[in-house]
Parts: sequence; C-alpha cells; structure tokens
Amino acid sequence: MTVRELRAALATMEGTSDVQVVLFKNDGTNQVFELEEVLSNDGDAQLEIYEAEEAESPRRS
Amino acid sequence: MTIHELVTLLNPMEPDKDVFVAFFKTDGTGEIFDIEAVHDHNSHAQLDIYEEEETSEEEGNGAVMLDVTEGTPEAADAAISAFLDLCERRGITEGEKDLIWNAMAMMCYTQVRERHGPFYEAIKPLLAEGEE
Repeated sequence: MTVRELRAALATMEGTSDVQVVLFKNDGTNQVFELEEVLSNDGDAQLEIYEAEEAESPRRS
Repeated sequence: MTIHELVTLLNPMEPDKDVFVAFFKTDGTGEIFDIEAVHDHNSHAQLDIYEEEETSEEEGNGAVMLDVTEGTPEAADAAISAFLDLCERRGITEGEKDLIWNAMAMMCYTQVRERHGPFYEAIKPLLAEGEE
C-alpha cells in the first residue's frame, strides 16, 4: 500500500478517532496494537507498533 | 495516535512511497508487514496486517499443489478454488472479490486487445485454432 492509498482510505474517517493495527495470526487469533510512531524510512512510511511488555508481578521487599 | 495525527505525519511524505508496519518485539527482534486492508472499525481506523504463512518443503508455499496440467479445466477449477479459499481466510468481501475479478478480466482484455503479454501468449494457440 502506498502513502497515497492509505491517505485516501483514511480521508473518509473521523479525524479524532484512533488508529489501531490488527495482526492476524496463522492460528486464527489476532492481536490489536496502538500505533506508536510514524517515521520516514528511506522515504517509505514506517508505522511502528510494539509488543506489550510482560507485566511484572508486584514485589515488596 | 488519531487518524488526524497519522494523516499529518503522512502528508509531507511522497505519495507513491510504500507504507509498512514495523512490529518491535520485547526480545529485541522486529518484523515488517505490508498493510493488507484499512477498515472503519467502530469508527476507529483498523489497519490489517497478516502473519507470514509458514512454508515447508512438504506443504509448499500455499500455491495450488494439485496434479493437474496447466491450462486444463481442472487447473482452472483448482486456481479458482484456491482464490476463493484465500478470500475466505482473509475475510475478503464479495465487493472486494468483484474488484479483483474485474481487475483480472480487464488485464486479460487489455493483453488481447494489445496482442501482448503472458495471457495473450497463452491463448494465442487457441485463437489460431479459431482462425483455421
């Protein structure tokens, strides 16, 4: 998909709504990610998503 | 990130450049994905990406692996069946299927009209038969 195509697809949507990325896996499950950052990578648009850190169990000393 | 923020970041970029998703994992590795579709999902913009299908020597790469000769009705049925199966797995709608079929039909028509291209080359013997 090109920058033009993505902009056109987004043009009809509400500007204040969020963008989310859904990763569909081979086992039929999917994961939803918030879009964290957009960078230019050699001119291409690189949309960055991050795997959630495992939550550490609270420990008290 | 909102749609407005994303569009603002995309605006200064070259329109013909590609967009891809970089997925950074907690183990320090990363993966790159093409965006397959953009939907309005409960008023949010949903960008769909798909995990790469695993391939193996035994299973092939997802292409139709049937013992049929190219160009036979069986090969055509197998190709259509594989396409419809892909559409189902990827959740491609009837409207999107029509778009793909139309694009393929137009491409074939253009090749025949211009007498150039792999589709035209493939049917040339059939055209020659018809002229005899």
